Amino acid sequence: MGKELILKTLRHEKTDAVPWVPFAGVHAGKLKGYMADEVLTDSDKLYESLMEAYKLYVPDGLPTLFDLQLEAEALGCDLLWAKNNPPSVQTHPLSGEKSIPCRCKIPTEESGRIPAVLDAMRRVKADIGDGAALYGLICGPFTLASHLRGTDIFMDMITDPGYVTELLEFCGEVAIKMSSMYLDAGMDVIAVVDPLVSQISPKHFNQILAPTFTAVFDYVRSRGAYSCFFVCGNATRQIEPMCKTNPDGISVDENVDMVKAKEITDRYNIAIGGNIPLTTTMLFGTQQDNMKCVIDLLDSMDHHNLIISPGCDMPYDTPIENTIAAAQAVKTPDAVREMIANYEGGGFEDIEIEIPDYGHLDKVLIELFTLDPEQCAACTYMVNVVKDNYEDMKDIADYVVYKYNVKEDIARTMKMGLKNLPTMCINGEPKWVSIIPSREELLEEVRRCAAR
Amino acid sequence: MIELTLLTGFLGAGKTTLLRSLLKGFENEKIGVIINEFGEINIDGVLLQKDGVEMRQLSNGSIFCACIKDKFVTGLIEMSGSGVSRLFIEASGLADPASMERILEGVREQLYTPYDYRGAICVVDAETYLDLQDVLPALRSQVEYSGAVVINKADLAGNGQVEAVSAAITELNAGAGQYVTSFCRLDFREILRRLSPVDRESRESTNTVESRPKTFVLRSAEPVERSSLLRFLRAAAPSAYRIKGFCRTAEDGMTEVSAVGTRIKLRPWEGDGAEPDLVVISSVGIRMMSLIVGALEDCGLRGKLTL
Repeated sequence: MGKELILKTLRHEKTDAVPWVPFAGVHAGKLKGYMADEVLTDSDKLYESLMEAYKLYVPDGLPTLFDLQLEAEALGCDLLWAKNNPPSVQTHPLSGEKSIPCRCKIPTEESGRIPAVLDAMRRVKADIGDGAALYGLICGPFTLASHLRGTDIFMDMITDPGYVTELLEFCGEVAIKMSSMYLDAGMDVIAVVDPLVSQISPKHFNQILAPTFTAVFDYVRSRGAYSCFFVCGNATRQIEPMCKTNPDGISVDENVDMVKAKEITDRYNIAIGGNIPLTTTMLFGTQQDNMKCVIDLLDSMDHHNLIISPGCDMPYDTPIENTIAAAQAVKTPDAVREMIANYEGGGFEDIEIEIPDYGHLDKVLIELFTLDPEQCAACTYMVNVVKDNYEDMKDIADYVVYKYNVKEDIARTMKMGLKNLPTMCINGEPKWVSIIPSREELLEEVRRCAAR
Repeated sequence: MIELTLLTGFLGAGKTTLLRSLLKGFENEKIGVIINEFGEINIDGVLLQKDGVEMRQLSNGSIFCACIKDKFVTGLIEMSGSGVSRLFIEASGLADPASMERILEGVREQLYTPYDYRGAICVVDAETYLDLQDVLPALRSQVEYSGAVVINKADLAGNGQVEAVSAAITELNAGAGQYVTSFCRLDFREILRRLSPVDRESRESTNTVESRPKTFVLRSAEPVERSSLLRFLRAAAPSAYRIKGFCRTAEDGMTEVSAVGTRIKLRPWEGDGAEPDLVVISSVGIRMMSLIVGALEDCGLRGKLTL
């Protein structure tokens, strides 16, 4: 029933239940005692971890690998590996050199870690392919383009949109090739995961990105398979443009009001998935928090065209019992609703936080409120735009990075009243919310504040 | 010395037809051919398969682009030791051959038998050339670096069009011999006899990995109705520089397909070695993927022609 439930939902048919897709990426490794780098490089360990996730979390749909750096690595980016997170991109081959990679560089079944991934996919397909819909996750073309070009791409979009379009099309060809390999290995759904889509304007999305995304989704459809468009961050204003690229489903995180987003996806008859908060609920919450969150989601929306899942890739250390509780709530909502009838939750308000006296600082204070500067691509690029240009403003500004997987930082984010991450505050004022400024915009703002 | 001739011309102008006539005319000699195509699949190689022809196929880019220039150089060296008396090189449709002589100079020391570079013959489509030369700089370069220009498909050209094409070619390269024809019917021995390399300095080719058009390959999983195939080609061809290759049809079995703009040709294929692959060379970038998928659905070909 699990697999069919997902496929029916992505075909927009009526279902008896709401499907559940736990995004257990590196977290699946934790279930077998493997670290993130092990599960992302060793096909045996990946296979074992996925089988364990299938057993423990009873998923209707199961992502096989959640690593948005896989394609970038195959295309020449150096990665920084971590034990508890997917790797992050350290070098950008096209930084300082505005060119398009040769098509001969498009990954093949032999490139980088792809052979190990395909091997694990085939084995998982053979063992549980009838039970769960298997998701092949690929790096979205815009995030891949940013991996290749670095933060310059945000300025390029303004000064040389033709170049960005060409680079996007190249990354779209990579996405099509990855989709083709994953479908051949037995994947039922291709998820195009592009966190950076939330960081640009709908105008830029429509002009530069949309044709490439549409091409990828059309390709997947031509293969008789299903597609989903995953985005992270505050993608509220992108939901409609994303629908127009015609995926079968869209997936959002806690930065998006899912009830309002579903009103839009329903108009386009596209399924929507989400959006259990990754850190406050899944990582730091209790079992009751997770149950309540799922029940609240189920009770706030019509169940047609709906998938319940975490907002994005689950943190490595997510307590297993929390995920099990979320699964339980999706599978037996009536029983769980009774269990949590009087539960309130919360707890971060009690942590003491000192807010700087912004009016009396020696230097301009740049505060970067992130989900995780290594794991979340949008956060990485927002942090990097400050780091890369800090030399030019170090005499007049300080900067500090907060992470939403540290309890004190969560409390600080709440005390500042910030609703969306990443956000960059300048002297306490949220200046860029889910938008990455160009170097020029950043320097201008810092200098303006310093002159006051 | 091995006589070396380069054949250039845009997609669908008639290079392969010309090469076919040339091979027929030299049946008694051992001939070498290097065929270069943009896509992953080499269609012209199948069309030209013939006994006694030493063939190399270079796909996935232009031989003048850094991406496969090394393979081109290796091909030239190997061919010089294969005992052929003549070598014809069919460049890909958007090849900019400006660096040809520079490449030959670079490999001179490594050749088994030296090449006598006779120059380039460029084939242009009388009907479409004037429109295309404005948008595709490589086409001007092809004319500039040619010793002879064949103005082909004169039968399809409108009033005064052949004269206008001729004038445009004279403006670019007054020294090139011009030959007006249809179906590439020519006294090619006469062309070859009078051919000489242009007196123009060799320069870097403008072919780069970026300037290469996107190609998509469609495989026929099962035979399709000829009428459905025609409908599909009519829908897709206006957004493609060229569609060519083979497709299995219910009526004729393996069928050779060639489409340039609105001109579409289907011919039963009686030769060997053809795989049922259609190559679509996009003129609209990656959007071609969506146009193809839409057209396949509209023509009832979803699942029958697969990407």
